[in-house]
Order: sequence, then structure tokens, then C-alpha cells
Amino acid sequence: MRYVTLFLVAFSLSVSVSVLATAKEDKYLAALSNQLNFREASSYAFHTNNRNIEIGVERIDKDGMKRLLGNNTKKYTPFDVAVTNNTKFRIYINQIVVSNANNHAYPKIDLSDVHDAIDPGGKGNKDDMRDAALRNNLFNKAMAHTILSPGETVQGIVFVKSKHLDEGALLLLQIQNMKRVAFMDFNAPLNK
Amino acid sequence: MRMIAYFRFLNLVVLGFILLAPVPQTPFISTALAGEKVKKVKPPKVKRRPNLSYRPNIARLPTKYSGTVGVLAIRDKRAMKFYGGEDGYFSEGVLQTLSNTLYLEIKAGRSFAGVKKIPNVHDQKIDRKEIKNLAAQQGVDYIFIADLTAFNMLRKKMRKNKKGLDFKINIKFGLVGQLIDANTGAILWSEPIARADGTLNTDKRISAEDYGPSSKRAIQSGFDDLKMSIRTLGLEINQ
Repeated sequence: MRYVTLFLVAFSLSVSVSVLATAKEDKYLAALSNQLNFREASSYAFHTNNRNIEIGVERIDKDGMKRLLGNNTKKYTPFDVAVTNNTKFRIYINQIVVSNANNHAYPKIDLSDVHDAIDPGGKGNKDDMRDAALRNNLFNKAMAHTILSPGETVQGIVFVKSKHLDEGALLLLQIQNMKRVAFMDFNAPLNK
Repeated sequence: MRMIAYFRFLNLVVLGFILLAPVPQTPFISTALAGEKVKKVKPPKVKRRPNLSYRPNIARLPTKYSGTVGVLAIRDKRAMKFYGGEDGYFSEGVLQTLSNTLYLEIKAGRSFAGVKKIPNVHDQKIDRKEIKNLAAQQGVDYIFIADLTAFNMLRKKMRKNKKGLDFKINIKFGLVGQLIDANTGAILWSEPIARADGTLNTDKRISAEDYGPSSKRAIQSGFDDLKMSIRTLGLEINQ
């Protein structure tokens, strides 16, 4: 009877350890299935409207970075950006540029630099699944140059160097009309 | 007697733990060996890099547009370069080869009576007046603009086996094209094109054969979609 009791103690101990071990999920893999909350641009903290095209911009906080990307993005600040097309025509996001207060554009940020800043570990080791997961995640969630149909909203993340925010960085979104060649520029202040 | 019973109990606890704990998930066993050499993903040596260019298939269909189209060089609008912040995985320059392929594919699609390559125009914003002037200067009726939105290698973990980890090497190709009537500035066709192709990698390193053929297949399929789309969806201006 005593041995049975002891065996049960051992069994419960091993079960509890295994439960603890299996409960720990990789944060970069978990982040792959977390998406930006779907909203139209008008519900963003900063939003602007011109001729029925709406732009929304909101800074992603540290909890948001961990939820969406698995970790803090360190020297790059991510912004959740949305474009809503309320016109009767298709539109195209022609340019996504971050510039300083004098409209001087900063060099384009390659997502590989953001990936390296986050540093998922493994130093780019081919066998490292975290590296692959983070790269896929960044690729899928970054704001893309795309065509929007009437009524459609597109969302994505734009990364800005944190030091540029102190210099009064602006986000310039250039939208093109896809019926006849015409452009419209939208500026959003990022350091608010 | 008490000491023997105590040792039996200890043995039982240890044995129970070893037998019942699920080994792959235990936090005590690391999945990577400490002394394992890090194998970074980097471009192969120059002599081993695959090429990107290929011979397009010529369509045997009647022309759709009676005028000549001027094809501009592809504008790079990717969020990241091919892999790890660089494009040097091929024996040819990525943008230059894709621009050349775009011209050859539009020509091979035979939707236009004439196709002309217009080099050295990379402006991100070309307005209606500039398009009209450029077309008059080059003697073309339409201007074709293409933005490269994706040409990337991405890896996806598949499973773990005795030989090591299996990864799927995915090549993503995407562009947004616009066919513009130079005279009116009307956009006759504009669509996003996206294609992907991949292979399974098991030999613990990424070599040219893991991404070279997939890259070509993804590009060729993308341009086939583009040609078909222009032919079926492209608008025509009433003369």
C-alpha cells in the first residue's frame, strides 16, 4: 500500500513537470497567429480624410509588439497603419515614405534590419525555426503596396527608427487613382 | 530496514519520473547542442549562383491592342530584399533581369502590335503630363508600369526527423502592373499579381537548387498570369 502511494506521488510529480513543459509555447510561433485588430481607418487614434480616402495611424505599444511579433522591436518603433477606400474607384498605395519635418525622406527600412534588431536567437542558424517564423511574420504583417477596391480597408505595420521620431518624423502615404493617373498625398505625424 | 525502504522509495520515484516524463518536451534537454556550429543562410559562391533569366513562351493569339506599348523598368517596392537584406543570390542582377523579363514576356504575350523597352525611368511618381511627354518622345501609344512588391525567399519549418530539421523554402513573387493610355492618362489595366513556389530542404544548408528553379517557376507563373489578365481584363479605348 505504501509503495502504491509512493508510486502515485512520483506519477503526479512527473505529470506536473510535463504539463509545465508543454504549456510553454514559443513566443515567435505564437505571434504568427496573432493579427492586427481589424478596424477601418476612421477608428484610429490619428486619422485623416481627403476625398473619401481615409488614413489611420496608431503607435503599437510594447504589449502589442510582443503579441504581434513575439518580442520588443527595440530601435524600430512599429505603427499600425490603415487605409480605407470610400471612393467609387480602385486606388493604389503608391508610396510609403517616412520623412523628417522638412519633408526629407529617410532611407527605406529593410525588414531584415528589423528582424536583426529583434534578434530571435540562433544568429540566423539555418536550423533555427524562430528565425524563419519571425521573418515570415514580418513579411506578412508589413504594410504592402497594394490595390484597394471601393469600400475596402487594408492594414499593415510600418517600422520607423525610434531616433527619427524625436526629429518630428512624418509618414507620407501617396495614393494613386486607378481609373486615371492622379495622385493624392497624406501626411501623418508620428511623434504624437 | 528503514534505510532499505527509503532507498526503494527513492528508486521508485526516479524510475517513475524517467518512465513517465515525455522526453521531447522536457525543459532539461536542449534541442540544439551547445557546440553545434552555426550555419547561417548566405548566398552561395559566385560560380554556384543560379540565373534568373529564361526564354518565355510565345503566345499564338491575335493582338488585342493595335498600338505600341513602352515598358518601363520595374520599380522596387519590396518590404525586404530577397533574403537577409541582400539580392546577391543569383548570377544576374534581380531588378535588371526582372525588368528585361517583363519586356520579353509582354512581347511574347502578343497583346500589342509593338513593344518597346524604355530604360532608365525609375521615378516613383510619374504624372499624366510626364507620361504623355515620355510616350511622344519614345513614339509609343501606351505605357506599362510595374512595381515589384515581392521577390523573397522565406523558410517554413515542416518537421523534425533523424537527419535534422526539414524546412520548406518558399519563393514569393508579386508585382502590381498598370497599362496606361498615354494620350488620356486612362488606366486600361491594373492588377496585383502574386505567385509562390517552393521546395523541401533536408540537407542542412541552402544551395542554389533549393531556390533557383523555384524562383524561375514563381516568376514565370506570375508573368503568365499577367499576360492572361491583360488579354482578358484590359480595357480598350474607342477610337
